[in-house]
Amino acid sequence: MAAAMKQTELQLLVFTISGTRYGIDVEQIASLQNYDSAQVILKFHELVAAKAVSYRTPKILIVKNRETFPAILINEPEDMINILIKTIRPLPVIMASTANCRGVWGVVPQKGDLIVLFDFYKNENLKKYQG
Amino acid sequence: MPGELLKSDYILNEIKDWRLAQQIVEVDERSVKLVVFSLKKYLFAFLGNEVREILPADEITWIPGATEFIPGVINIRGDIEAVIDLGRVLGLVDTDKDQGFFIMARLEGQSNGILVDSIIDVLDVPISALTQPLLSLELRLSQLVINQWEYKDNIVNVLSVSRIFDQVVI
Repeated sequence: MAAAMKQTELQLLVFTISGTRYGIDVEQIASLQNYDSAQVILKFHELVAAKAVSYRTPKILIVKNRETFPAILINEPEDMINILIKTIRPLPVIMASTANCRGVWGVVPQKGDLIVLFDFYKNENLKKYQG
Repeated sequence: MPGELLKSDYILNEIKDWRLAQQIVEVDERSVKLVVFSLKKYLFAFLGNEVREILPADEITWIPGATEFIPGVINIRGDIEAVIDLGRVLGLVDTDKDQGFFIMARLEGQSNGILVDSIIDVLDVPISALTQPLLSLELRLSQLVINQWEYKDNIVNVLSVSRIFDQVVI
């Protein structure tokens, strides 16, 4: 935990779903695989209650340290970036509670756009899969 | 002749101007700053001390956790602030068109943008000119209105920012 506190940068895997860019801490990712239709999956937009969307470049993300979690369907990541911790903006208080339940914990402004930070371990829909 | 000002109208205008001048002369009377704005065909106002700034409406970014009343967030010089769709809070349908401004409202360290159609005026109003809201107000509106005030023959409902924030938070 102390090491995490001293951290000045965060490495994010960035992908877009329904027009929203999401950033995932790479430390939460065990692997990224090609989509296999036979696999039991959860679609990412269902985790965050976003509008239904078709996945044009589907990939399967396996969450690290949560063997009981299903595989997560995402679009092919567009980037892997390092961000400075101090550039992370907390969510507005008025919506922090509902956003947190969906796993969203902050936002990073980047190139006139916003990257929504997502934490698999905080997402209420995934908690039911915990052993 | 059509369009010609009748004598009675002329006199009434004179009286109106005279009353307005009287209001301005009464400098000792305590006043409050109001930011008057329109939403659909109605006029509303916030207390000036609850308004941080007014910005032209810009793109709202949807994020998970957004609701019917909070459609997303905006980036204000690097700070991420929520947007409240006041039209939906008040039950004024079809409010996602023609909305031109964010009124950045602040309260106890919180700041959120409130989406409105247009800014009508920012002015000082004598406290004595504010009246208690009518009991006949529609329920949703009555929960948010703290005062009423007459402005150019229209009723302006003065809204409480804190009540709006309380109403939309889940």
